[in-house]
Amino acid sequence: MEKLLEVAGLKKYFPIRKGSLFSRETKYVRAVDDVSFDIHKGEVLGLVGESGSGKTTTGRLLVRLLKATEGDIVFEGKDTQAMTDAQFRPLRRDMQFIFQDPYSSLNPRLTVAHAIAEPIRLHGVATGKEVEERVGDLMNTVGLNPRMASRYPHEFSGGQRQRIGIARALALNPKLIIADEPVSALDVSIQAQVLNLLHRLRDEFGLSYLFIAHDLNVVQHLCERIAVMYLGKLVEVADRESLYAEPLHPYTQALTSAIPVPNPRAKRDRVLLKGEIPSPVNPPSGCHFHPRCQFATEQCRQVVPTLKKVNATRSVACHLY
Amino acid sequence: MTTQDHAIAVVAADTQEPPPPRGQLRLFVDAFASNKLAVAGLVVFVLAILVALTADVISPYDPNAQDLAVRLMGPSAEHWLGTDQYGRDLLSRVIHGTQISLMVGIVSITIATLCGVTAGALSGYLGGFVDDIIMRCMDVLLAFPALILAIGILAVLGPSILNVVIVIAVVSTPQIARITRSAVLTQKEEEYVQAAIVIGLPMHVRLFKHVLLNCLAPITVQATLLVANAIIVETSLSFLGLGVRPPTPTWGTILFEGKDYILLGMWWMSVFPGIAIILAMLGLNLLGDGLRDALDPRIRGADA
Repeated sequence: MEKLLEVAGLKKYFPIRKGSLFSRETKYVRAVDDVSFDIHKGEVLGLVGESGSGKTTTGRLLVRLLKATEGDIVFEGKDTQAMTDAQFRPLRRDMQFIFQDPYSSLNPRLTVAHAIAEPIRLHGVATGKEVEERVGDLMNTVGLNPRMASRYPHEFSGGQRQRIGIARALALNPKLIIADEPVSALDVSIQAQVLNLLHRLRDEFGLSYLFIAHDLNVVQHLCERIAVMYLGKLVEVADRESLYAEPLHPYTQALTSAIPVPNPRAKRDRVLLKGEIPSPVNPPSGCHFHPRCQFATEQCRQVVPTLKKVNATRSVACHLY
Repeated sequence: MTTQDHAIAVVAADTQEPPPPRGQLRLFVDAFASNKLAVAGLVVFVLAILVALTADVISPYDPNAQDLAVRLMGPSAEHWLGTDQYGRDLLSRVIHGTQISLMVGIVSITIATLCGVTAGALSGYLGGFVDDIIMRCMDVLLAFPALILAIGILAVLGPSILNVVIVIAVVSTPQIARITRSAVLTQKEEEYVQAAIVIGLPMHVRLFKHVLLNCLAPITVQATLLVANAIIVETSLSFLGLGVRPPTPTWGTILFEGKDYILLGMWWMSVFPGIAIILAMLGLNLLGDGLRDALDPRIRGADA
């Protein structure tokens, strides 16, 4: 399979300024710390992790909502990090973003038609009458009635708004869609609808997704490969079947054991994590996960594990393997 | 699919929605018209402007013509609002005063709004160094009480109507700039602005179309209230002899000319220009509130 996106050694450090105007930047929040992954054409890669793990930052770095501190982002063989903003603009057609919060991702003063038509007009995908037609088609595609095009976002429910956001992302016929927790703000019943929609769109348009979520349950149905992130680093990357069947990294084990089982009598071996995710300003030495890991050894406290290939389809960053 | 069924049901209930460009204006007008207080404010404001524009036609007398035979007369059939200490017709003076007071208020706040929105928007959107420089300048202006600053500037420039306009614009700019900056700061973090970045919209379009469009409500309200404030400042300056010079009538000069006589029972010289000021303030404030509500699509939806 052809690689659509290659990310290598991606880092994003946010400086924390302390004191007054003249004080020096001393500390950094290491939101994303040396992350590498690939997305193939037509593939859905899930990126999971708890709050503060840097998954949203990673997504934003890809579409240049944030500038990377270090690392390469190669899209279709083109190194985007070397590009200026003007050079990057044509690439935006191919890389779109679905936002987490359907309530703030639409301008409350612009109609739905305007929101969806904006990228179409800007990139000259269609002109004149065609724009309206295309907006209508897109609304149909995401399951909204085109007659509602002249309405304002506040007249829609959360699920409908998220569909509008998806229609806007589709407007430019992108190759890659980065979906930043697109269903986490929705009710469970609506979540399924939106997930099914994303699944259908992928087949219809041959899309690739980077699907960001904090919940393995949501990722399960859509993603072929799943990358687990913890404190700015990838701890495990695996295909869906093997990840759910046999999670290798202790953190992944904890996450999979947290997936609810719809059987009250099922015997479950819960791995419960203690404490909070540590601060990315002062990450623990060695393996970042060791303070919460039940298998931690002396080696874990001192040596940072690297992501090692375990077999053809999966790799893990843990000294146990 | 259930969502689609639901969607169709919603549409069926309201199929006669006008197309977007006209629709937006229509919705705004409808929302504004349904707010009775706002309409009252608009009526007062429009009346005041009409009075100002037709002052020469509707005044029964020349506002500066003295007739010492009828000085200090109370309201009567000849002089509806009475006369002042020089026998000038108060009605004619209040009518002509409307002209100057409104002109000073509207022109100065228009200038202040243009400057303040530009400064505040750049400051809020660009942040960092630009923000520091612009806002520190505004802080310097804000640090002085508006009236003291105005007196200081007028003492240098000399009293004239044009200088009063400039001074009020200068002292009002920081208020607009601050309101704009804070509105821009909250709006620019919203995800729809990030969505505009993702589709590749250039910065100036993002700032004006997305960010400033959503800051219209607070700016409009603030500007309307500042017009009221500008009229008060003009009044005060005229009283201090730094604003409009006598005999040119403004509400301020008439009011303060009357203050020596109010204790002698000649109330009409102060009361009538006072009523004119109160009406203008009330009208402008109601108008500002009405605009704010009608400009906000969320409140607009709730009213309908």
